Amino acid sequence: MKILLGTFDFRPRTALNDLFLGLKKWRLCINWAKHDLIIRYKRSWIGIGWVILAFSSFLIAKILIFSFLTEEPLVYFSVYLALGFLIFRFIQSIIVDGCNIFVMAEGWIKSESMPFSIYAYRMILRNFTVFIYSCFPVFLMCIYYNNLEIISFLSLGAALFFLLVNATWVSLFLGIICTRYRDAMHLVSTFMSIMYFLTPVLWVPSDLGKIGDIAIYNPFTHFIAIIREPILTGQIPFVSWGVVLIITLVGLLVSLLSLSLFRSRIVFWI
Amino acid sequence: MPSIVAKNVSLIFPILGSDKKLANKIPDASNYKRNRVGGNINIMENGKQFVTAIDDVSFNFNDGDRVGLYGHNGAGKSTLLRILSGVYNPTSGELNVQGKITSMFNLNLGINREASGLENIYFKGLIYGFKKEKIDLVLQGIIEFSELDDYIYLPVKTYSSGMIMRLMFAIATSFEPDIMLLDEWITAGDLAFRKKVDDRMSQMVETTKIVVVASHEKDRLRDWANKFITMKSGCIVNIEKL
Repeated sequence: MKILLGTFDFRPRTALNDLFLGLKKWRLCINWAKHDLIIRYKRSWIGIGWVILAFSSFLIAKILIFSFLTEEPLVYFSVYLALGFLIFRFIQSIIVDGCNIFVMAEGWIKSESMPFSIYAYRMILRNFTVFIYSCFPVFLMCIYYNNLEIISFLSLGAALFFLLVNATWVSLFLGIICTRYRDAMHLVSTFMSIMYFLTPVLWVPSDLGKIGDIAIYNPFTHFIAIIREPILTGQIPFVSWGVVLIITLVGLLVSLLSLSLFRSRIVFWI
Repeated sequence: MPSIVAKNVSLIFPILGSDKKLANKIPDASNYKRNRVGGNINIMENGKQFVTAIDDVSFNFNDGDRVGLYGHNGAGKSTLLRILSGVYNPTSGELNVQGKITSMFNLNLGINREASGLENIYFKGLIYGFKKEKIDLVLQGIIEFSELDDYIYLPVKTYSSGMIMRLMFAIATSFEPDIMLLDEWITAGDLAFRKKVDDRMSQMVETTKIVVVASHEKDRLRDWANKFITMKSGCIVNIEKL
């Protein structure tokens, strides 16, 4: 009896193919994401409108309390908090749901041979739809703030694209790790709750002096900055863009590497 | 041309989350083929546990083959079907599958219970890579064959297991696959529908090049198949041409 389990196959081409074959089935991904949301808001009268309602009321409560703790002008701080909260919520939902993409799809993975990236795209599209709905109150605030220039729209498009690319690698990577090691998903959700307070969403770094400077070592700060800074100040934060580009590249590589190694083993781990 | 070629294919599962002290309970685990069901259980010195679900199988399926996979519970029939469909990759050996596959494995897997029958037809069609227009073409045929009538608009969770079987069988057979894999299709369904299933299975041979069916109903399988494979403990014991 030969047991060849010590050696893992390394199949980078299969992994890369998986990403593209998943994209080719975009109709299925959209349909699936839509279905997930319909199930979530099933028999609710307001339906997906709850996203706007819940997000707006959170925002109002947060602005009411935290505006007392900052020296920034109220309107500036409100937009600052709204944008930060919007983006962090999106990132958090991707990372936390990303841990579950394969575990939740057990029945499908065991019965149909599909590209594994489909489960990531499905989850990203679902959370991106929620993100778009939450944009509504934030968009109104930005119009009121009245500092929207062409440049901020252009950089917004690029920033959203990079957010989605990062969402893809992070969910595939965490999906694989958390399927194998079930502690990882609890670790990740605890980590994300802590990061919410360590990321400049509720506070402005300049208010905190030296402690506030630590924020630049937090990757989430930069993912928020590439969207928030152009809208608030009209400036493109080049340092943050640099950090985001590096994280995107490294992340894509790490995620492709783990998919190349473990793609065929995911089904054994669920 | 659709074909399936397997050369020394094996599948060894890791067992996760099982009893760490399993080695004490079954010290004789390495004794090959001591179990009456399932494949061989392997326990490594470091405590890691594996099951050899498919053990070094080789075969060729070609155009026109109606393959019957026969064996007791745990003989590896379903696992072998899943390997052919691509759900599992063989841990060793070579497998080459050419052709579009549809499959029907388990009534509880691979269906959206919250969605209606109709939505599930579209969903499966999308999974098989068809566009909406193509799915529209086979839609009426599926509804007609499954005899679900108005129930096609209700969520699948309101269906009985026989109704789910009708729907899934109709879907699996309607998208004109090159290769069709069915696990235990015979067992569910009332007599009248069984007749319909048998007729459909005979028809399938004209459009579908390779059909593989796993079952433990020996006589019925032998009536239908032209290639009969007997499995035991993950191994192929015998391949007969009928």
